Amino acid sequence: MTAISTAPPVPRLSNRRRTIKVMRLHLVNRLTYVGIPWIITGVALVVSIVVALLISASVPEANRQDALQGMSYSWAVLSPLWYLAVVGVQAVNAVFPFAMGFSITRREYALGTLLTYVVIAAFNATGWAILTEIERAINESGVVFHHFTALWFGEAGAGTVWLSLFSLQILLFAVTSAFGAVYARWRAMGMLVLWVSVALVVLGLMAFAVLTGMAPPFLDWLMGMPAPSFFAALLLPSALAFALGWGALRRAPLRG
Amino acid sequence: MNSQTPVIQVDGLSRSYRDVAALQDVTFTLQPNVICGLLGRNGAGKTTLMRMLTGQAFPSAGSVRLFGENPVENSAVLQQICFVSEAQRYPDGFQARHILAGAPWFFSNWDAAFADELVGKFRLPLKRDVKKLSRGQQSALGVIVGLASRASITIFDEPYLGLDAVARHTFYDTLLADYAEQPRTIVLSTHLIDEVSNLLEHVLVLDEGRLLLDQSAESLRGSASAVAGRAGDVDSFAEGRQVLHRDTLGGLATVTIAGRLTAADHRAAAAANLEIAPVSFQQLIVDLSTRSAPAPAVASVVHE
Repeated sequence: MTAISTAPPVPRLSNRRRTIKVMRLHLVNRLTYVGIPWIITGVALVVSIVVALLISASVPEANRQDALQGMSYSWAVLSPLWYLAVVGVQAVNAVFPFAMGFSITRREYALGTLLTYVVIAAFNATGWAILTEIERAINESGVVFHHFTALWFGEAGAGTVWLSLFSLQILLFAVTSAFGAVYARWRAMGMLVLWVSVALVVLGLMAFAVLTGMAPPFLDWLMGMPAPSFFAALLLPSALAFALGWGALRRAPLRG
Repeated sequence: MNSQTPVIQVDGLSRSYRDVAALQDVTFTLQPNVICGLLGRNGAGKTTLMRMLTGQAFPSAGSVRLFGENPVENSAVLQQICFVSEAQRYPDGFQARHILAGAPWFFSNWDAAFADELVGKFRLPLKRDVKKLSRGQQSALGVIVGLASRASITIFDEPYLGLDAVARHTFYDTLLADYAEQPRTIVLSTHLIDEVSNLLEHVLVLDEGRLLLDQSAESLRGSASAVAGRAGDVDSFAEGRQVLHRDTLGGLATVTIAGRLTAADHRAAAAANLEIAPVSFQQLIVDLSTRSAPAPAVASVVHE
C-alpha cells in the first residue's frame, strides 16, 4: 500500500452496523449484563426458598398458609434491578472512555448503548416473566410460595409483568446513565447542579399540586391508572433521561 | 518530505482549561506514511493535542483536519485512526481476550494473526482481568491493539510505560518491521527520546503548550554539536553562534552549538584545544526545551 489517496482507505461502515457492534462490545463480557443479574436472581430465589422453609418449619400448620402468603410482600424479585442501576453508571463511567479508545463516535456509542439496554431489558423481562408464570402455576397446584409472584406481579397478567419489568429496567438504565453522562461532562459541579435541579423540580411539582388543590385528584388518577398504562408511561421519563444523558455526552471530553 | 496531501493538518489549535493554556496556537501538517515523534516535557500539551487529533477533546480555538475532515464525531475518519492512550480505561471484568475480540469490529484493517503473534511476543495473559494486569502488561495490550489495528493513522501516547527493556525493543523492532511492510502514519509520544531516535522520521516538540520544533529527523540529526574545553576558549569559539545550552565545571565549559560545523570550524576548534562531539537527539531536545530565552513559535536548528 504505497499509493496515497486522500479518500478514506477503509470502507465506510453504515451507522447501523456500527451501532450493533457497540452492543456487541457491551456484551463481549457477558458477565456484566447477563451473568451477574441472573446470579443475583438465583441467589435471591434460594434465599426466598430458605425463608419459606424456615417459615414452614417454625409456624404451626394451621397458620402456615397465611404466613407464607406474607412473602408476597417481598421485594426480592426486584433485587437484580439495583445491580442494573450500577451497570447504567458503569456503562458511561467505564465503557464510554473504552469505546472512544476504539474510535467509536459518541453518537454510535449512545445508540449502541440504548440498543443494548433495550435488548437486555427485554431478555431479562422475558426470563423473569416466564419464571413468574411457572411460580403462578406452582401456586395453583397448592404449594404456597411467593418470590416472583410478589408485589403487583402476583395479580398482573403475564404481559403486564413483562412490561413492568422491561420499563423499570429501561428507566433505571436511562436515569443512572444520564447521571453518569452528566458526571462525564461536568464532573462534581454537574452532579451538584443536577441533584439540586431534581430536588427543585420535585418540590415545585409538589408545591404546585398542593397549592392548586390538584394533589388529591392527581393521586386518585395515578392510583386508578391501569398497571400496563402506568408502566408504559414510565418509558416517557426514561426517554427524557436518555435525552438528557445524550445532551451531556455529545460534548463530553475524555479525561485521563 | 514529499508533497502529498497531508493526513494531519492542525491550524492555530489552542486549548485552555480555565486560566491554564494547555495548547497555544499550534500549527503543523503531517504527510502520509511517516513515523513522527511528539516530544516534550510533562505537561507540555502532548496528550491534549493527541486527544484533539482523535476527536476525544474539543479545541478552544483553531482546527484539526484528518484526511481533510474534522475528526469530531466523524465515523468515517475515526475508523481510520487508532489512538493508544497510556491512560486508557477498561470496563470492570474485561480481559485482554475481550478487547482483542472486540477490536476487529471497529478497526477494519485488524490483523488477528498478527495480534496473536504479538500476544506471544509480549507474553500477555489473555484471561486475566485487565485491571489486574501489571502496568507493563497493560501497555503491551495497548501496543498490540495499536500495531494490529494497522490503522492509517496510529497514535501512541507513551506506550512504553512499565514495559521492560526487552519488551520496549520488541515494540520498536516490530513497529519498524511492520511499518516497512504496511506504511502508515504513526505518531509516537515519548520521553525515551534516544531509544526511539532511530525510528523517527519527523519530530514535533511541544513546550508549555507551544510548538517548539517541527522538523524532519534527518535534518535534526547532527544539526548541533557539543564543544568542550577551557571556558574562555569555548566562549570565544561560540561567539556569534547560536548557543543552545552551556554547562560549566570549574574552568571548563561545554556548549551546545546549533548548526553544522564546517571543516574550518573543526580546524579552529582543534587549534584551540577544544573537543567537538555530536549531540544526542535527546540532549538536543532537552537543550531546546530548557533554553531560558523565549523560543520562537517554531524553531529550526538547521542553519544556513
